Parts: sequence; C-alpha cells; structure tokens
Amino acid sequence: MILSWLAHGILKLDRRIIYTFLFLCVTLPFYVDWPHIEVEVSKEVEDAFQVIDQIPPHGNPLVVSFDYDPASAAELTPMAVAVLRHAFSKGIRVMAISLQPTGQGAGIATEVLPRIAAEYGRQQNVDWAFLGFQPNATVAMLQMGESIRKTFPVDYYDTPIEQIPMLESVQNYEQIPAVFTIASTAVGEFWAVYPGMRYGITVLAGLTAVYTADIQPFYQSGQIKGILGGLKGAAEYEARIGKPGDGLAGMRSQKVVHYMIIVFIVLGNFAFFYTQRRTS
Amino acid sequence: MRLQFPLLLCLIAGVFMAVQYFVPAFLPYYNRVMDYIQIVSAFSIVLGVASVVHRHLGRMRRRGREAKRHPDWPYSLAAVAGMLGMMLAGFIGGRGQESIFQQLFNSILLPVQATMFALLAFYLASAAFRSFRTRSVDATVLLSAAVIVMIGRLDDLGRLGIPDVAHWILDGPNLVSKRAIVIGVGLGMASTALKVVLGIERSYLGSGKE
Repeated sequence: MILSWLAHGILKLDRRIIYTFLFLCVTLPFYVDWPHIEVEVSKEVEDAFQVIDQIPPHGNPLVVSFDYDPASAAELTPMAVAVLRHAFSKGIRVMAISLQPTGQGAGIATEVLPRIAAEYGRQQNVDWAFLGFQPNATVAMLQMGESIRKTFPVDYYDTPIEQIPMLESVQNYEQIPAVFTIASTAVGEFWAVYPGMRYGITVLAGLTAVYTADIQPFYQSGQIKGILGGLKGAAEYEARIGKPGDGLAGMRSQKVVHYMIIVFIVLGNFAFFYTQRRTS
Repeated sequence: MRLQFPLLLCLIAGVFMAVQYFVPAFLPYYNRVMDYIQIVSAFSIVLGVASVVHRHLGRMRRRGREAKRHPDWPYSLAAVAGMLGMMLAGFIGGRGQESIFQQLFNSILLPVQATMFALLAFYLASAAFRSFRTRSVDATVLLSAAVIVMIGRLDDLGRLGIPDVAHWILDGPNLVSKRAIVIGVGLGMASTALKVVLGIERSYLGSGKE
C-alpha cells in the first residue's frame, strides 16, 4: 500500500521539485565544505602537464587559444586559469589568440589573461601577448604555419606585432613549442587535423566533458598529446600544479549532482516498474 | 558560359589546393589563396551583421492594412539595440580590460550565456528522471554505462573498480565507435569534395532559376 502510494507519487513528481533539488545540489557545495573530493590525475592530464612543464622559461611562447564562448566558460575557464598559472609560475611566455567563430573567446581572454598574469607579476608583451580574434579558424591556423605576423599584424590592443618584444623571434609554428586549445566546438579538433598534420605542431586540448569523447581518438593516435576533459580535467590540473581553484570547487557540486541524478533515475525506474507490475 | 566558368574556377582551385601540398614551389601561391579566403571570411561577418539587422528591422516595421508590427518586435528591438550598443562601445571606448565594451561583456553577455547553458542541466535532470527507463536490454546497457561513467568521472568507488571500468568504456567501446564515425565523416568529406571539384555536385551554384 505504502509502496504503491510512493510509486504513484514519484511518477507524478512535479518537475519544479526536481529543479529545486538540482539548484540546491549545485549551489550548497560552494558554501559548505562538503563533500570531500579526491582527484586522481589521469594520463591525459599528466601528458598535457609534462608538455607544458618542459617548455623553457623566458623562451618561445606557449600558444593558448581561447576557442570557446561564455556558455562554456564555467567549465573551461578553470582550465585556462590552471594552465596559465602553471605557465606564469614557471616563467613560460604565453601567446594567446582566439579562433572561436563568433569572436566571444576574445572577450574571455581579455578578462582571464591579464588577471592571472598580474598574480605572478608578468608583463604584457614581455611575458604574455594577446593577438586577438580571427574569423575562419582553419585558415587562420594554416596561415600561422607560414607567418604569424601576417595572420595577426596587430594584437588585440592594436599594437603592431613588430613592437611586441616577446614575439621578436617568432615567425611561425617552428618557434612554437606547443598549442593549448581550450575549445567547446570542433575548433579543438581542427588544431590536430590541419596545422597538427601539416606543420607537426604539438597540440594539447582542454575540452568540455561532452566534447572530450569526440576527441579521444585523436589522443590515442598521438595527434593530440594531452587532454583536459571537462571540469574534472581542470580539477586534475589544479591538483597537479598544487593550486586549487574553481575546478576543484566545482567538482563538489558535480559530485552531488551526479549522485542526485542517479538517485532520481533509480527512483523513476522503481516507480515505473512497480506500477507496470501492478497494472499487469 | 555562366555555368562553365564557375565550374572551371572550382576545378582549378580544387586541383591546385590538392597539388600544392606536395609541391613546395607552390607555397607563395598557396599563401596568396589563404589571404583571399581570410578576406572573404571577414566579409561573411559583415554579411551576418547585415542579415541580422535586415531581419529584425523587418519585424519592427509596421505592415499590412492594419499597420501592425510583428508580436515579437520588442525582442528584435532589444537585439538590434544590443548589437549597436556593443559596436559603439567597442569603436568609441576601445576593447581594453577596463573599457565599457569589456565591462558589458563581463557583466551582461558572459552571465546571460552561462545562465542559458546552465538551464540545460535542469532539463537534463528532469528528462533523465522521466525517460531513462530500463525497458530493454539496450536501454539497460546504456543506463548502466551512463551511471558507471558518471560515478567514474568522480573518481569514486575505486575499491569496486568503477573508475577503471568508466575509463575502459571511454577508451574502448566509445573510442571504437567514435573512430568509426570520424573515418566515415572523413571519407564522406573527401568524396563530396571530389564531386564538387569535378563538377558532379553543383548545388552550391544555386538552382539557376532566379
């Protein structure tokens, strides 16, 4: 009797109750230090870390491509922050660009890059530069293989590229130790397929969790040398560099929400089969 | 001639782009073609802006005998005002970190888009609760895989080997199917490109009736 009442109640559960549960599960872990999170660094993230870690300080720059829009910022910005912290803490120079089709990645880079550089006292155009946005990602990637100066004649702040000291010796991909693309679209894949194959550059990718499954074949084939997948990838990188940030904080919410969804799926199945059996 | 000339252009461009990959002497010409493509791409942004303005101005205009506007015209007004506002802010105040353009981006566009995307989680949770049923063997396998990957991504239940199983699902069955899709898409792209270059596929030229 109770089970029957419960099963019918679950099946008729108002979606607003589910929404309320979800809202609480997402927000509360940010305010209470619970649940405990233990992150194990995966091979994909370790590989990405090793590639960046081996770039000589104050030498040729690591290219960081902000290929995502604000919709994915909650998941991908923690990755950008973690990688920038790693690079700047080691004195690795960063040359940022954005090839996200609508150009909104440039807005994110403008906010993130100077903020993290300032944490480590890194100077614009000496330790980091932001060259801005180019439409048509594949063509821009291929053009950079011939001449970065031609692809980006001025930086995002209209400074001619010849006047940027850290790029004096940078002509094309031959002087670029690695490209780290942070992408929510196929742009991440394009880096591996087009300039990766033609110019043999080292490609690392930070991707949304949904998109990571699509890119996995390129990691296995060696076309992408390391992957940071979703918020977990960001959390792993933060754990690896020993600087907890939004990735690890967000993992608490993610953990609670995952279990909440699993509980709701189990409850839904129980109610469904119980009522089916009773009806038949 | 109206049909043959574009087809010939396409054939020459297609053959050139294929051959240049193997002939280093073609590099300067390849670079020139890349410049052309980048310029054309820049114009596509102009075209996009013009298209958005045209569509929304059309909605705002009074039409018909009763001179009525489209019922959604206030949204169109907001869209055009937002676009022009951002453009003016960028052109006049620049795009630096402290500029109005960047402040508008940080304070409005970023949270609004993030909110829109976050709403997906609510629909996803509700949909999973209502429709994720183990009605068949296929559905049971799918559901089990989903639950294992969800727990595995949290590095939980390591004693039961759940993270290892989750990793195997992603690296095994998922990888195999994704690779098959990638190869299929690649072959499809190559064959379509070949058909376009050889003039078999002509839909990009339009119907020719206009």
